[in-house]
Amino acid sequence: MTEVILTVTNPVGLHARPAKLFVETVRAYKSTVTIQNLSRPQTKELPVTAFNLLQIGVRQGHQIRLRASGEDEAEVIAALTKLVEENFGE
Amino acid sequence: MSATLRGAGGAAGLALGPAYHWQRVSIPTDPPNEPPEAALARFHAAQHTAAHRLRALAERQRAAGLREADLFDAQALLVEDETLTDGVTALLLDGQPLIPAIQTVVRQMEEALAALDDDYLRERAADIAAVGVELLRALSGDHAPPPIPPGAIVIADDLTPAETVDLPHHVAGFATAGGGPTGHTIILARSRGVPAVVGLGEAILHIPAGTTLLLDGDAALVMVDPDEAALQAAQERMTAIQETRRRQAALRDLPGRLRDGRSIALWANIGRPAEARLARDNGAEGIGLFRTEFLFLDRSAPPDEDEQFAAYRAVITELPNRPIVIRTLDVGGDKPLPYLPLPPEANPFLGVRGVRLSMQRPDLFQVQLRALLRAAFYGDIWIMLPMVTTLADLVWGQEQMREAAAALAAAGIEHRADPPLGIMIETPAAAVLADQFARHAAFFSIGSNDLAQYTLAVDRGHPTLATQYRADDPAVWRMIDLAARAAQQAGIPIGICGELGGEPDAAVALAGLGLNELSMAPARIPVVKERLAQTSWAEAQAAAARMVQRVE
Repeated sequence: MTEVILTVTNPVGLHARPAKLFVETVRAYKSTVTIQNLSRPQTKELPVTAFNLLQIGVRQGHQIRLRASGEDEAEVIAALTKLVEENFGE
Repeated sequence: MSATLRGAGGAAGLALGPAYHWQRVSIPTDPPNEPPEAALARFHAAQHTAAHRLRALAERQRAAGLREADLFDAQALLVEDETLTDGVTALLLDGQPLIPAIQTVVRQMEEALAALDDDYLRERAADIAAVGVELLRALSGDHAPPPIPPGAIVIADDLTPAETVDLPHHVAGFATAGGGPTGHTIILARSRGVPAVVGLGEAILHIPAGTTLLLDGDAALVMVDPDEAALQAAQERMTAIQETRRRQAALRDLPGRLRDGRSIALWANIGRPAEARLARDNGAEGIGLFRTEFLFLDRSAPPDEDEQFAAYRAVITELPNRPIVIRTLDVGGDKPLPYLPLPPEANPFLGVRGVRLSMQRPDLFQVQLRALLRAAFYGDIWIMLPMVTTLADLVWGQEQMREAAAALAAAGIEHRADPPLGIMIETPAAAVLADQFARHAAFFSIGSNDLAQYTLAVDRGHPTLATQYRADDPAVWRMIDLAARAAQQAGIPIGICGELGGEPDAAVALAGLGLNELSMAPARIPVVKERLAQTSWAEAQAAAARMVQRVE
């Protein structure tokens, strides 16, 4: 399992276009990826899907933990980290 | 009897017409005793249809240059969402019919969001509801909704974003019981230019069909059976608006010029090939800025030569025989690309961006140049380098272009070897040395947004400083003036492709500086064209002198 903790800095958080890029990136890899919004302690760790991203309500400044397991777990975490750190190309 | 209903938000404009009660396609029924496998197959087909329709809507919005396109992409993802799919599948295997299964799962998903302690996310429950509507619509098959009479004011409980963009163009406006001032429905109405009021409450639904309504989107209210005085005031406002539109439409196919005949071309800025049509429809005489970033963003590998060539040619097809200024890739550390890793910089705006990035990655630049030279064989392509600061930047670009042309010639590929190669004037260095640049560049184009940032040393998005330091500062105008004089001295064309060109007052002064071309968002062209046609050359020159000489 590969794990990373990131801070989301883009203004809309993980919604709309960023959410789309996030889900599409996960779909492009074979590993299963879960996300937990550490800044909303009442939310659960959930698989990365469009609806789950809505449910955990990641806003600007929130910390998220991503966990991937599978043959390309390191690659998918690297790709997602890049997306977040580079503000989804905004 | 006259009455006024107040809404929670509006989309600007005035509409007068008969009330028309809009009906959603009625909820379809399931075939009796359908086996779960058949229901599941219908469900998957409906998901496919709905996602396809939403993505097509996103494409349409994007082609019209509207940012709201992303919303439809996000909804398309939700249509295919695992939570929805798994939930519905489980109910079907349990023996439930399809329609109630979808309704149940959609309601559960809506409730999950509505329970969150976040207003913004609670509003997103509307996205889930919209997804449910789209799925039911897909299941109901193709039968078209009843036609809406032209000029009617559409009344609905609520409209999903897809339903909003689907309203025919001949509706006068729409009024909904639900919806808020920041909802997607009203934002879409604004970008479509349809007068609308949302959040009017139940009362609007009880108005008899055919009742005369006066809808005022600016004031977010609807007058039911307006009295004579209100009607007359509204008629006057509408006549004035229509008169302006008519005058601007009459200028559409005429070239841009001042009142006394001096010509100043009005070109359009576009970010995708599909927007070229919008440019043409607004009377653009050329493309003054075609940003190529769309080809490079949101993907894991750079676009190849053929893909780029096709995109550039697509614009030529829309605007044959018109000049098309294509800017080479303009990204930097603030907009990095997955296949183009850039080390983090303390100051991305003073770092590797624009042509500086191309100089570090000549491999990518060669591919773009080859595609541009091939496209230039078919149309009047001008190539523009962004973020040029030193003469060496431009000389490097010229060498690269010669190299690309030589390679194409050696391979026997059709191309034009010498299209005009010009530069953006967006750094103070380029403006101050404009006389030297003018001897080597084929044209100048002022990038006023960045030129203002770099001249005034202020970030345009700065929360407290941005309002004090603006693109109409005399320091910026002196930079523009320097570039304009140098261009005129050398006999090369100079234009502008920053936001300043689309502001009527600024456009007059820019014309007065002797610019040959103003390029702007397509929708700005009619307004600016009309303003210029009302201004004499002497007035424009006086306006220019005021901007350049002004004391703050």
